[in-house]
Amino acid sequence: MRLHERFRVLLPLTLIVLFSACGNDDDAGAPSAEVPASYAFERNGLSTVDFSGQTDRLNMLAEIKTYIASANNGDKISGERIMDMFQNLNAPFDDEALNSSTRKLEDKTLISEVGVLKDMFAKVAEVSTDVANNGTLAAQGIPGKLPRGSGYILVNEKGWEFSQFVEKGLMGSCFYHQIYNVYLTDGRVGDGVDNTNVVEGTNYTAMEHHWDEAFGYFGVPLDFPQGDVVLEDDEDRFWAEYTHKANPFLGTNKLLMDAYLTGRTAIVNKDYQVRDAQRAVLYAGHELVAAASALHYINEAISDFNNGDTGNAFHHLSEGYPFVKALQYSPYKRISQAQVEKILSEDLGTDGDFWTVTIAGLNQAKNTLVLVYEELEPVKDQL
Amino acid sequence: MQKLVTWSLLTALGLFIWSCGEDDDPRVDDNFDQKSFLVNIGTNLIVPAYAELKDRSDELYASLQAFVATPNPSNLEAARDALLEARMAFQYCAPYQFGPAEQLGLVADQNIFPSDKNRIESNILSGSYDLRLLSNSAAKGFPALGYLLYGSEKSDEEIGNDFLNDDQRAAYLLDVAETISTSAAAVFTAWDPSGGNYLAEFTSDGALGADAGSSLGILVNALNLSLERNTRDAKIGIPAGIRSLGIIIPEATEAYYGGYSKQLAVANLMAFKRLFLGENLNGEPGTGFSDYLQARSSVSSNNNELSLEAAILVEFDASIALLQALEDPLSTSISIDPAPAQQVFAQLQKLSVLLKTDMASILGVVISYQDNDGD
Repeated sequence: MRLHERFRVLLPLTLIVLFSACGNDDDAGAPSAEVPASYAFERNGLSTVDFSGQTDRLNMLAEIKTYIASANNGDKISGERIMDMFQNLNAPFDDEALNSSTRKLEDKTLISEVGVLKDMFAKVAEVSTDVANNGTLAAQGIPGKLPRGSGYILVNEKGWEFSQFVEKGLMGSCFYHQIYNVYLTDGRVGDGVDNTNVVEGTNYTAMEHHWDEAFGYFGVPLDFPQGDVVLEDDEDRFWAEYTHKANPFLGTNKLLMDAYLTGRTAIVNKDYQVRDAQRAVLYAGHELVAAASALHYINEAISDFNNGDTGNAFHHLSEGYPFVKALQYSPYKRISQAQVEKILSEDLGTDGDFWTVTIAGLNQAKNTLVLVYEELEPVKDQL
Repeated sequence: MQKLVTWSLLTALGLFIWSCGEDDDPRVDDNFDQKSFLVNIGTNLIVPAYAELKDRSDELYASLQAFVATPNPSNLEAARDALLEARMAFQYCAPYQFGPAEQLGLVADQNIFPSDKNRIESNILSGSYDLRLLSNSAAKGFPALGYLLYGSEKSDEEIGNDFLNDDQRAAYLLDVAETISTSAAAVFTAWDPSGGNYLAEFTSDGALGADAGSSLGILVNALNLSLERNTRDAKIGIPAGIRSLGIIIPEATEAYYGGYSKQLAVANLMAFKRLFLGENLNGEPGTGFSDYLQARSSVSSNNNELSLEAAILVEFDASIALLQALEDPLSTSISIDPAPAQQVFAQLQKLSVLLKTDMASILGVVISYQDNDGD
């Protein structure tokens, strides 16, 4: 069935959903919890929400990114240290709380990406040493430093900026992967998961907790997006940041937050139809944020092209490329694997070699994204 | 999981449609006919500017073909004249780097400077290059032709002989010219009512208003970005050492080899002034930003005695007068004394503030481009 046929057939149903979302009818029969305004759920007067493991991993990635980016200033960095940070070994973090945490990023990262990342950690250390010793300038096929604005970025032989590839890469291969392929799956929040007994030593059911863990990787404040400053500086990162950036164009803040709140409430109410509806919104909404972010950086790169600005073009492509890659991790992705691969291996340069990018290729990638994600069409040049 | 997907579409659609409370339609503007403003700018300024650029670019290509066929001093002179004409035409397109021009990479193909002579020479030597690549953007366009047609210290005779004796050099010259010509044609066609007719989109009812996707929003952003980054910084500020702790960079001037950077800058600023006044390429009047501001009866932030449109004109005229007083070749005059060029920079900064802050806010346009720093 073509997409819009499906829309037409199901439009009446959609309106029903719409009404039940907007209205505040209280004739639901059995006593049931209302959807709260912010992410706070209680049992016997105590909170049932805990996603400290996710917050730890967000904080770990923030430190990794900062450390790798310090190589852009000409500092030598240690591949061992990045590896330790990835595996949480040998107290590698500045934040002591992370060193004593039992969590690490490595075992939550999509297995096929772990080796790629470790190679990149070794490479950035090697390149940072070469640049610190010899001042090697990047060129096609040659990793090194590349002028950007008044400073430099450190890139590999394809012009990939290490710090961006690691940060945005893990946003996809760890955070989205965990949301998509772990916590929102039937195995974690499906009907077979215990939602009656609290997990021993805690105040939550297994199903509640898994939902909260997905929410933890989203990384927004509990009152999102109502805060007077919607995202404080330390919250303005990872998917929270990019959801908020896409929001003026696509309404992504409320879309995703409402789905998390409504789905979590439905779990409390054991209303699994509503839970499943919200799961679906989350898959679609998170994917849309990645697509909008990818398009934003492709637009930036087109504009950099018009300034003949290689440093900024590669910097922006180093953000956009992993966002395109992140699209493929959803099991319900709207874009096809072939389309993702064409963007990654042709449109954004031959085999992703940014030195071979053309403006025609960037427009190709843009067209594909707009074709697949129709919501982007009206805002494709503003994103 | 099929069910999940179905719900996904349903609910996503629902939530997108759902929006409790709409603002008033910002497209209604009681005091000013925005449509006829856009029609004037699009029809009488932008499309003719791109038509002119296309014609001059075609003539440039033709004159270079004649020069390569017979590389004598008189054909060299004709080619240089054609290059200057095309570069002057480009200045009148500079404020309009949005829509087709941005998507097709017009500036990337035509006017990235300073040019990279090492890259040009290595491309010629290898005979193998892809001019579409970002890494070749400083090895093509008008500035590259300037390098090839003027060289640095060669006589006209020697320059002609370089092309006579080196087929790859001649081929490179023509490849660069062809890229320029193709690019100009593509942008013109995209705007042309009998081609892609972007003009219709630019002047359509759906594009009225002042929000991010409106034609006014796009135009105000584009003109400010171009004035700031290309006119103020690239043409004047960077060569005059503003971005380099006072160290002069003569070779960063726009027409370093041709020696007419000031002339181009004056034309460029005239193009902005005409856009502001709504005047066409021949200086004939039409509805412009000045009329728009007048309809809003606004007062400038830097001079309460003047209306904003009058204050902006004062800054335009002061900028043009100071710029006129510079001497070409700009690369030489700034090396002797950078102070006058630095004054032009300061004056352009004043103009830029009025256009970017005062005018944009009076018109309700949000400036959405950012400076390229941060992470």
